[in-house]
Amino acid sequence: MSDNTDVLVADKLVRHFKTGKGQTVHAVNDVSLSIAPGETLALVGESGCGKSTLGRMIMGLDRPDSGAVHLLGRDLARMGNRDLHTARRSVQMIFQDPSASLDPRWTAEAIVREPLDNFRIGTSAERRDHVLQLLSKVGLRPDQAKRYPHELSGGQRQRLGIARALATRPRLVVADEPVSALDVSIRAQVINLLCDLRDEMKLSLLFISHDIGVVSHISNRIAVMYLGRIVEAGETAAVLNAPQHPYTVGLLESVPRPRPADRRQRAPLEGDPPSPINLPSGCAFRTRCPMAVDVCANVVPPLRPTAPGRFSACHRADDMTKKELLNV
Amino acid sequence: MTGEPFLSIRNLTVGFGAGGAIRAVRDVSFDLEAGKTLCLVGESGSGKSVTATSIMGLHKPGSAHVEAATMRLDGINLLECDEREMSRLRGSLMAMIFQDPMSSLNPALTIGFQLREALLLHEKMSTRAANARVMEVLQRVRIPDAARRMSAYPHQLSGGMRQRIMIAMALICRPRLLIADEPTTALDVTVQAQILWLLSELQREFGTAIIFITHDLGVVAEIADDVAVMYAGSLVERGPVHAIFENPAHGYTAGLLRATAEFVPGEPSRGRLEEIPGNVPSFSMLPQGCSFVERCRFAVDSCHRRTPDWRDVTFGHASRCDQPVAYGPTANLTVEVSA
Repeated sequence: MSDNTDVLVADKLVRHFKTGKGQTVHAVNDVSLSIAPGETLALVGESGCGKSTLGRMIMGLDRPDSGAVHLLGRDLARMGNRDLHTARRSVQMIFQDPSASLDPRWTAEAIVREPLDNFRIGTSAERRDHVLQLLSKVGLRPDQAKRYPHELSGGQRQRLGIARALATRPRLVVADEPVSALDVSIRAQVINLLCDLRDEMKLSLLFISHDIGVVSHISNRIAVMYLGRIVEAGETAAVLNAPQHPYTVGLLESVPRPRPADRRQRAPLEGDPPSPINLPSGCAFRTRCPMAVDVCANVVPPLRPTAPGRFSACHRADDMTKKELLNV
Repeated sequence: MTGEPFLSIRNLTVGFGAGGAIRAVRDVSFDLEAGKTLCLVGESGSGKSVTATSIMGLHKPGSAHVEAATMRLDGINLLECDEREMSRLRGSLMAMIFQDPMSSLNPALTIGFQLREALLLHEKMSTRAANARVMEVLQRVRIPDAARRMSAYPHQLSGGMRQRIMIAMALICRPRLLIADEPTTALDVTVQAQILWLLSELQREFGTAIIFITHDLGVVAEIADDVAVMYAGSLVERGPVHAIFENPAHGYTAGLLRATAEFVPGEPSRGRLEEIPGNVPSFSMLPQGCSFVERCRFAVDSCHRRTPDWRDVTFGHASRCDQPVAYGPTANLTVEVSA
């Protein structure tokens, strides 16, 4: 999957945490992914699957136990502090909760200006112009530049978070659930804004989300995570229309659709995901999997190519076309 | 459909602040039949939770001014009930579950203790009989290893399991009305699907009427019999679930349906999402006329002048919009797609 032109290449990332009781949380296990220029990769999965930990390692906010993150061809782990500081210019982040990620004592203007000051981009006058341009680009009015976060609505605050992330003209933006805290009527505005800016600035986007509807709309490729591993990856439409991992099938079937005519007859997946402290042997999904067989308990299925651009970590990926096996 | 509906609310208005000047709920009316599910849909601040807590009588004394022409539940006039009577009705006739089970459960008491409490209080059962009933209910909401879980504390359970405990607690005295306020919003989708299914199964079994509060149109489509859409404190549209989704008759409902990014197998993505411009107005700055007028792409002059009256669209489906025929394209879209 690695190609020198990729903006981001993550190679066999592993991150485990120790709990107070000396247990190990297997947050991220052997995850590799890459993002091409201008491409949007969606990272999909439920809480605790490791998607945010993965995002933090890509941002250089957390160091992997093993494996490497290459940003624009350079290994983050081999960079000194000064290089890492420069590298952060090209990768920025948008957070889920705009009120928690914006300093309440700073005005909108000061919030967007901080990265410019921090990286010493342009003269003071240029910075001021750039800030106003950015604010108008994300749809905030000039008179809102002097407002504090609490004087803005939730949607406006998230626009501000986007303006701040784009201030350094990054190549890659990591967006961690950027619309899930917003009201439905505001969500569409912010999704459209993100799509427009991405296309205009030729941004690469790592879009972390649990919302399949939003993901189907915004991403080119999709990687589905379950308990610290990518279990399926491929082009978005291909994965969503013909999933090759039983977890993806269950996840897609669980999403309530705004169609009263096609109600489900029962819940597609039983049980809760197991704890990342005591992972089941073999495939971590086997405890909830309707297709599990003996081999699933003994051998961890590797993420392997199943078709051009498609990957699945299921021993029975080839059986997935036989719908009756899934019993969903 | 003869006789009195199971729950009947007429002209409910709830105000907060000095003299109830901030009216978070204005002139809300609806009925609910026994054993049916009504979804109250709306965004944050639309007044859906305040409507629910008013029915339950859960406002802090003196904090809210609740006025209504009618609030009747199972033949009981809730407006005439004093705090003691309301307290007796809560838990036995009606019960409520919330979004975050962790903040509704006492972290210092075992699950078994908290579940038993309602039975000891409302049904004057012996501890032994109560324990047996608790076990039965835990098994009913599919808590694995129920005997062991009774001595567990809330933090030892997963989010999905805690919400099952809340449902068990709400249903343990077999209430006839359950109000569920965003009970699955904090849960993962696979667990949400389990909880929704559990609720509808229990409803079929016990004939419980459910008011389900949510902002998620997918969830509404999944479980509602009837839908009431709220915007800025008022009800703007109500009707059977199929009518609301296939033939929305208010600019806000139509806008919400079009603005939702959804994935439908075999269909291409919809392209650019249709936005609802602007923000929800605050209660102190509601526009003249229809409260949605400033964000509505179908608004005409009269919408600015006066608040629209209720109009019947079809039997049981009514909208507070003067342009209910304008949303044809959405109807076509939905019909095409589901055909």
